[in-house]
Amino acid sequence: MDQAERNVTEIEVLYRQHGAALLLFAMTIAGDRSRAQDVIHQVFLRLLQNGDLSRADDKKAYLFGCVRNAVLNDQKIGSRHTPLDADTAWFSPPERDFAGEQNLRRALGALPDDQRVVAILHVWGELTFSQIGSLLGVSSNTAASRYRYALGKLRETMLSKEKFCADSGR
Amino acid sequence: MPTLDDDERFESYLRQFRPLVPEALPIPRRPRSVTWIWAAAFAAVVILGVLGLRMVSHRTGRQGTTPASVEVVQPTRPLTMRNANALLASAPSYKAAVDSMAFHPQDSTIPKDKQSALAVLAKEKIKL
Repeated sequence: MDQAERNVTEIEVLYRQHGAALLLFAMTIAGDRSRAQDVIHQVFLRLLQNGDLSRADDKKAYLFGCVRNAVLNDQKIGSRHTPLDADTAWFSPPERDFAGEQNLRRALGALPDDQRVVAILHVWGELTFSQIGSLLGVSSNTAASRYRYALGKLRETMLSKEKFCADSGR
Repeated sequence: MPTLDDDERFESYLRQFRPLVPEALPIPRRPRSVTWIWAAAFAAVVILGVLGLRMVSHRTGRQGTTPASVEVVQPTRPLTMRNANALLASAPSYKAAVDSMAFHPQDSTIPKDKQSALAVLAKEKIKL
């Protein structure tokens, strides 16, 4: 197996490992799933053409950075900011809890953009606050602070929604 | 006031929701390297050569053991007394006449129970 084939294999593995989190991340910035999917494919196909990821010290953070830049460029070119698509599922819910999935999606959608991005990068992207800080150009403390706010609001929104559903079910 | 423990439990609850898997990556497959193509072609030629040789040797072996026919050599023209006389008359020397009666591979086969005149003559010891 030559170097080019090794690169293709490595990129395929990275796509399998992080593709889902990258898609979620792209969806929350781009607004809708199909654009996010296109951006992810563009990023990975460009990586395949250009060859190599060996220069990237932190490959996972590098991929999230590439996706973020690609989505922002796409938005700039189109001069558009699409609101989050509330009707398309973002997650595969545990135990077919589709109401919970919708609840989570709406709670995430209600967060400010900067907090939502940090929450997604930390919970589903499994990036550290230091990595998130480098990616977004803020300090790790700022990233952690945004995350704490985001988590508090998510919990509050989801619990109040569940409570509302339970109350209205009586 | 939510505690750190609450945060961790809530995080693990959130992680139970798995992000949807993206569509497969449309990877353009590279053509196989030229070296591999040459190696495959070389291997094919070698295999065909070996098979050809085996077929030829098998056929030859079978011909050698066929009981129904024997290999008989005969001149290009049938060797009759008339032809032999004509050769002796026209040839510059006796040796040249005999040489022109030399055996050649025959095209046809003769059944085993029959013999050609030439084969009978060949068995005889003629002193010149």
